[in-house]
Amino acid sequence: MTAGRLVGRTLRLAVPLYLSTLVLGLIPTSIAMLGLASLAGDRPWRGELLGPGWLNLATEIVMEAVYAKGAPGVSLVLAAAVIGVPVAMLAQLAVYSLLAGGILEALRPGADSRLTFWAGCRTWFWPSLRLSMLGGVLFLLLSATLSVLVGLLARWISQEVVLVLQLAIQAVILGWLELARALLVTRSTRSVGGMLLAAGRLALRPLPVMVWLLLGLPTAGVLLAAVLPPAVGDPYSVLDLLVALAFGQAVAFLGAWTRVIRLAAAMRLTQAAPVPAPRVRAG
Amino acid sequence: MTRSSQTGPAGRRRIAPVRAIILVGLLVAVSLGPIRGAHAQGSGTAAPASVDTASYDLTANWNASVNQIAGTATITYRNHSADTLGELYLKLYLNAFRSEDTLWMRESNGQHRGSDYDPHQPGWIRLERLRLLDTGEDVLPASIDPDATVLRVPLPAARAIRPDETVRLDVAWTSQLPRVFARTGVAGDFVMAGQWYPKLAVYDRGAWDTEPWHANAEFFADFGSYSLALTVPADYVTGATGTRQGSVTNPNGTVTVQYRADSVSDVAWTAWPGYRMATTVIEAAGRPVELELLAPRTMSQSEDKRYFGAAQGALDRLGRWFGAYPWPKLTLVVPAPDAPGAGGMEYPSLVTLDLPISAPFNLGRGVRLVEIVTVHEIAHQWVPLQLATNEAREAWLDEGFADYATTRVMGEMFGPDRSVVELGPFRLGYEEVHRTQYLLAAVNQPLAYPSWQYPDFVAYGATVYSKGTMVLLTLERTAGSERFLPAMRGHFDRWRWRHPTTADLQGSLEAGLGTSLDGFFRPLVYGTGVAEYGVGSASATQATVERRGDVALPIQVATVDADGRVERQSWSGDAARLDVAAQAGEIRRVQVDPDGSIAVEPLRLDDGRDLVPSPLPLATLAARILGLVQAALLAGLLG
Repeated sequence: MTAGRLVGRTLRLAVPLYLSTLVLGLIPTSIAMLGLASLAGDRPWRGELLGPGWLNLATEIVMEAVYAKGAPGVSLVLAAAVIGVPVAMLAQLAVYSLLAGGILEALRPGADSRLTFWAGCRTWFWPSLRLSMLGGVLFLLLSATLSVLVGLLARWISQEVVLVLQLAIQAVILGWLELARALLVTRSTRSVGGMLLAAGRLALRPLPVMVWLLLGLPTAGVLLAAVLPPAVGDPYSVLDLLVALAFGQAVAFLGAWTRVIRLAAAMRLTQAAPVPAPRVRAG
Repeated sequence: MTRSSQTGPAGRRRIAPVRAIILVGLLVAVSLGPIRGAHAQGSGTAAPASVDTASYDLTANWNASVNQIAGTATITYRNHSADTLGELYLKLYLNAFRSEDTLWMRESNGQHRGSDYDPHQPGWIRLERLRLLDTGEDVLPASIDPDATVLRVPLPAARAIRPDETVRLDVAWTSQLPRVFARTGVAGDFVMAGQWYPKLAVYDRGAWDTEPWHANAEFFADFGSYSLALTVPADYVTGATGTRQGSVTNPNGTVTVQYRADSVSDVAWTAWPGYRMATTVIEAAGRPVELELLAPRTMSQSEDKRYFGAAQGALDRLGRWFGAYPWPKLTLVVPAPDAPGAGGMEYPSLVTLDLPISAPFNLGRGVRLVEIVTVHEIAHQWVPLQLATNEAREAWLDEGFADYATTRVMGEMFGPDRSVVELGPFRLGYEEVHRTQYLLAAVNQPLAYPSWQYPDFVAYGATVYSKGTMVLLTLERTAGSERFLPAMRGHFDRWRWRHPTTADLQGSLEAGLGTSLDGFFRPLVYGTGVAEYGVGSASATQATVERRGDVALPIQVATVDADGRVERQSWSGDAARLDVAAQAGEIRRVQVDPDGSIAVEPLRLDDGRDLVPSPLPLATLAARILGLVQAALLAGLLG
């Protein structure tokens, strides 16, 4: 596959993932905005929520609500943040587990042996979901343990080096989970534990480590861009609204595309894996 | 002095002869009457400005093996009052740390600013000699409560101290320093000695300050001259109140360092072999000031400029606003990493600070705790270290002032909305931090109130620091900085080297501003009044502004018409409501207190309304939040 075709295919495959983030993202966002509308709908300070002093204003909103033992809309905003976002994240995990199978099937070399996108989604949903659940726990345990161990080095090496090492470890662990997901498809197996072990052996090779470290950069970049959007010059301007909308969605799409590229990289890396396995068609 | 005597310049003029008569009567009564005793709260005349009331020639011999100071002192007390004093009171602060059963410990539950008291390393002070130097008479009481933090010392009748007379005491004692706790103590070979010697209590307005030391309380002392001969192991680096006069190396491997300070109310010292020293000379409000930084050797030298920069920014601004820093030197002490309880305290010409936050890529510098603590402690160089307020009885006078001044200085140095945190899009100002504490625990607490009577440490801290700041900011903003700062300067000029009270501050500000502030001080300083305003009904032709609290403050009301024209009107704020009619065009926006002057108003978010609200700001915000949530959803996939 040429680079151009790979780019085109990964862009197309990113669309359903992006759309899922849009739909799921709208749930907590809508709840929060309902709260904010009743709290600030006609208040002159609402434009300042977009300014550099937004954290001061947000603090004031929370503290006045605490003082007054409640404020219209604040409970909705809190519900969106405390319940809505975590629920959406769990739902996104499930949706990703569904879409990942289709994306990996679409990226599998050899058109004749591929499942269709939606058939791939259906086929690999449960193994992929189990991998997401188990992988999430393993990621938290491993990254916490290794981060603590690396943190112990802070006596001898600078904090900057420690932080970079900790981030690098996390990037490799995340890559390991992507490899396991790709191995499920390439080896046509539903053995999550077995593929985690196989991916573990593969993930520690120099090339995969390099790949995941490199792919960690755009992932972090996308997150940074979302946290640091361009300043809003005039909160009462339609143009500023459009810019904010376009930037947010462009970043979200880039984020989705980055995920697909990571799956593509995992698929390529698993091609080099030496252990073949009999293909099992799952229901 | 009664409150009613402070209702404004006219009122003062009317009662001035009456006060003079009362004063003369009091003087006569005192000179003919019995010797004055102790009272919980004086109500007589304030003592005149004096920098030689209580002077100390101190020696301190540090014994590192047992963490004890062997101290001697000649204390010279001059009676500047109009009363004859038949007794003295000594404050023995370290006894608060003798055991878990002391008053201080019972009040604090053995905790202070996040540090725990170590009962295995207690602190105490034991008087071993107390004589009248000139006659040799022993005045050490036969029985002393070992837990007492205040000691009554009766004087022989013939030795009662008449007005303008001086008494000299010859004192010897031993101080056991605790494991660092509540500002003082040891941690390994680090030593921070605060409140380490017997200190004379204050006699002012006809009474001794006999209050024991409480957990939610600091100190109160007279001014004088101090000399200190400090003997420590030769490898220790030392710092102390005042200026270093010289040092002598002793044959036993110790060094004796001499310090001297004038016009100060205390002396503290620190010693540690782990210190490194950096010095610089700055100009502050037209005067040179030597800055000496004592910091752990492990602290990066690149951090020094943060301490020096904050010190210069504070000394220069506070000097211009309230009068120049009066001493030639300021010592900045950054305690050892395992002694955080020693940080964040003011002594004359010496402040103890906090270590920088340790974070990679200098991210810690985006949180300006170093600067805030430095500026706050330096602000204390004005109150209580030039205006020696009673920090226990009216803590807001020094803590409220210090954080009001810190808010001002930090706002000028870094910007009001980012003076605490500036990390990319995360910016937080010190005023908002105080608003948080004020709203959490202080709105319904009085300010001028004994610190030990607040229900808990949170209420005490939130009130004296944060409500104090809100009250002073409100006073400044409603009066205007151009009038308020000179009025405050007048307060400093009038009360420097004295013991002003809240009433004296009110009197100074009333004199400076030319208006009565009784309607402000009575509910907001002495009482628990609430200033609250909001927009009631509003239409294109008329809007109603409502006073919803029990405190009336002068306030601005602004309306904006469809063409963006702003009409402002002043409202005394004392009626229940104000109707505002459209002037030229239709009203589109009503805003109470558009400049945010009423910092004490608890609910400020309801101060404005748009009559034709545009959905664009919230729509743009929704677009931003949506993008951020989507990115978070993708980041949360974990592989």
